[in-house]
Amino acid sequence: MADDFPLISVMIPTYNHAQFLKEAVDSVLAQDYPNIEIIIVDDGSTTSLKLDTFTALPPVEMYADCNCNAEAESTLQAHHAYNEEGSDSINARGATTVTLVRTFYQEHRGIAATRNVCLEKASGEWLAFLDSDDVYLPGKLSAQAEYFRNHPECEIVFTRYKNFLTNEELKSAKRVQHELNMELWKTNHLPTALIKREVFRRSGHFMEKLERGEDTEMLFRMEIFGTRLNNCLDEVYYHRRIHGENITLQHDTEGFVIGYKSYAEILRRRLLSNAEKTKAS
Amino acid sequence: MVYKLNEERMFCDITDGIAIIIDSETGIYYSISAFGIMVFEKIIDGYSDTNIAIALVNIPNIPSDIEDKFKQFTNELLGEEIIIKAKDGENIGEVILDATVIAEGDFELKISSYSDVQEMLIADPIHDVGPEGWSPTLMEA
Repeated sequence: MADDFPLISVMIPTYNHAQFLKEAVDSVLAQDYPNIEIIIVDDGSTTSLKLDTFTALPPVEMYADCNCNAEAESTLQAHHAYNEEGSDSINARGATTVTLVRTFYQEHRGIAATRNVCLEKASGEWLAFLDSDDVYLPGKLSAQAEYFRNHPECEIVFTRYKNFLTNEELKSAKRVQHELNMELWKTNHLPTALIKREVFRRSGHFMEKLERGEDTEMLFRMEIFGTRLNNCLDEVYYHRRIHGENITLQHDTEGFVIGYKSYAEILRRRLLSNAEKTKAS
Repeated sequence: MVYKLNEERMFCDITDGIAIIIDSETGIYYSISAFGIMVFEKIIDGYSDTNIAIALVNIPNIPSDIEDKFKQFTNELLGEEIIIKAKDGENIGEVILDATVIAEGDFELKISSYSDVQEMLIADPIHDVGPEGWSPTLMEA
């Protein structure tokens, strides 16, 4: 099977998203690609995963990487119970395309470090991220795998995505309206991508000093290291959730400043890199 | 006239000799370097355009069209809405320019704009990070 259907690692970094994780995991379990592992890395959530949020569960392995405090233990117990529940659920559910779910816990280190742990733990030759508050649409991975088969030179293929809103109260926010009005997004959004492992071997890991924008920086760096980012399926296969308190991100908040400072650093490095390239040629 | 950074919309970061200004509404970003940064900083610090122009024309060996170039530069910043008129702005005094920047002899006043990552810059901020980190502690179920 591995020759025809290389293992795809779906990597889900998560932090205090228990209420969304079920949907995210279920959307992977609903994929029709036959060789998938799911890697969940919990970045030190302070809220326990809730068992009744999970419905379909494949066999699970569980790991704790770091020194755990009492809260961490609690979270791990929830993971463990989830795992045991899973053994039964898979039988009741019948065939599943997912061979393994592996969950890891670490003390809180931030999204970039969490993505890097995902990469370290993943064993698939093809890699995909899924933000724990978002969902894949059915057929995503098989459509991207098919694209890889038809375009062997392609190393990363994106899909289009749509934003969706789970809190209607947020609808009036100007920023939210803007996002929702962008009916079909064409941006290269990292979590929509299926990526060959070679790309990360060449480009390296996520920059852990970035508190945000680590995915954008990674895309810039992939490009710098010769990966073409112009392959995108025309269908929407990814739904991106707009929710909760992140909407309060305003220009005068600390989050805004931290975020854009990271972007400025990325863009500055990009300009310098482009200038060096031009100089060399 | 006195101007200020359009803080409602623009994020500005000046490090390592390059100013990066990100328009959070359009996703377009701008860069300014060297001499331009020094002048730009005087503008957004609240010095009047008249006093900045006086300081510029008094630089020894500066090109004779520097005043026109400065006007163009200011107009471009206004046109892109990077700066706006400071309604209650008061001229904060005489402009003293950094001699080390002047000594480099590069008097270019240029703003470069880039739209190549427009959607990425617009797309990200709303989603991934709240004031407390990469994913806010929200909705305790």
